[in-house]
Amino acid sequence: MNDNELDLLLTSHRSDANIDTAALTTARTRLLAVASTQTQSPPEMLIRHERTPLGSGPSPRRVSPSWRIGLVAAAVAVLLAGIMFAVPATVRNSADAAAVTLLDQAASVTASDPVIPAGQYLYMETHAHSLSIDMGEGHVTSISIDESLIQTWRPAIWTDQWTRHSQVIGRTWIVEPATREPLNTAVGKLSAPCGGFYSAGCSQEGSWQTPTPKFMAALPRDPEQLLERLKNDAPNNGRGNAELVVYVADILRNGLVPADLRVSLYQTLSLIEGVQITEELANLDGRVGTAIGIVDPSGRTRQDIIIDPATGMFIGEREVTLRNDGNIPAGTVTTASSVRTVVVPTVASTG
Amino acid sequence: MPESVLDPATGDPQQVFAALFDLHAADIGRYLARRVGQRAAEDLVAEVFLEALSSRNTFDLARASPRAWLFGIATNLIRRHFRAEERAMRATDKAGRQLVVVEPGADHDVAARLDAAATVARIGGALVALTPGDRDVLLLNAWAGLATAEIAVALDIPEGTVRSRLHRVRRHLRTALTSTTSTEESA
Repeated sequence: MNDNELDLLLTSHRSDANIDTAALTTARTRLLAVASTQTQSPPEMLIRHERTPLGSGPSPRRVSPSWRIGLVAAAVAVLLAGIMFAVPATVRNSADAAAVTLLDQAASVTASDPVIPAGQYLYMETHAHSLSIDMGEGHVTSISIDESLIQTWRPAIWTDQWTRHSQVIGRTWIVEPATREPLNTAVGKLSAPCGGFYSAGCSQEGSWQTPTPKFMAALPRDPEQLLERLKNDAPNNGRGNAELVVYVADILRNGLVPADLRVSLYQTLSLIEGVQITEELANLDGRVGTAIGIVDPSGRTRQDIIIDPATGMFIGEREVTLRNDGNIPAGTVTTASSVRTVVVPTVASTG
Repeated sequence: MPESVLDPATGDPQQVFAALFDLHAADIGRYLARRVGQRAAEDLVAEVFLEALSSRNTFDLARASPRAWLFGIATNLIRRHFRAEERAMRATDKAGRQLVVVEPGADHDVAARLDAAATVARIGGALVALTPGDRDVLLLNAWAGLATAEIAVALDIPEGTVRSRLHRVRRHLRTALTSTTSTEESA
């Protein structure tokens, strides 16, 4: 799904909902009746709370926000260090040339695609991590890392029936909420031809986020032309070249990109200014590869793509914070996904 | 009275709040109805303005627009109505059903149309599954039309945090609605 489709869904959802004008009239009458009993405050009597959460009304004595944030940040940093992958908070001063060498090497060793025998399936397993932060009245009420398992069985013939199981498999509390809600670990099961689990079945046109054979076949293999295509397709959202890397990560994450296109994508990454090696030995879900990445123009986050230099295989991708931002300390992996693919004889077998 | 001279903290309460109500109540009422349903919203819209009136001395015109301030108050009140919000979010309304019909490419394909219907139905579940903080940022932007700077004021969090959360939650929804969440079809 692209941003326009998401916007369409969001703006349509519950767009009929409204309140009765009679209710507005009643509310206005009530408000003005109370307001008429209030007096205008002389300016010198005003109490200004620079950091009082707006809308919370007069608040009881509170812990200094900066101290509280520092405490939460420290707790998060300590806990994250034990839970998440070890990630450097700052980008290494590698020359871009090192990334080019790595990408060239990955492109040169990229093998041909596995052949799926008739009646069998390509099993794709994605582990995804995402950081969830809940804020209430201006302070953090909970922070968790959620882990999802997404299993997809692609048939030998693209237009046959695909199967997908998805499940939240874990939640690690960094900051516990006052009341915990039980984790919903139900397995969502979807089935659709052409992998068109969303909306259009085999009629979907394809995109960087939902690639179809037709979409991928139409992408240029020449790296410079592919870069131009990326620049045309990626939104101009203030993330600069980092958004181009996000789009490359989006298409690679699906595990469906054929070897020749993967080679072109690697070569295209080496043309993007700002791309560099960010970690030589990056560990994503126990699989080690080299991370290449790019820092946002804001300097706040970095998008990484992790590749096995020995085989050219795409291992996964992640987004890392580089600065303390509110309660999120530098070095936090805010999203990550790793992908594994293997040919299996039946749906439900996982290699 | 233009909004720029409406200062809830220093102006005459009756005059200022009458003008603020006339400027913003309809938008806030509609936003509340989308979030928690018509019945709860009709009570809450009055509460938003009464709460604003009683806490007007904490308002700082130099820092916040009255609109962002009022949506901030509305957001805090919504937090107390989680059950109503959950019911409202899962309700697929007429506009959502119409979206299924106009979904590109779905006109001649029954299976595709059913898939589109499932996605429209899933948006409600996906919104409920978000953390309240993520849902607030997303819907203050998508439904209330607040810019990230205004959302930062409404929720009293850094604008950088708003931007990164908005980006993250939109990306999460794009992925989740494309393919990965369908817990309604639980095994």
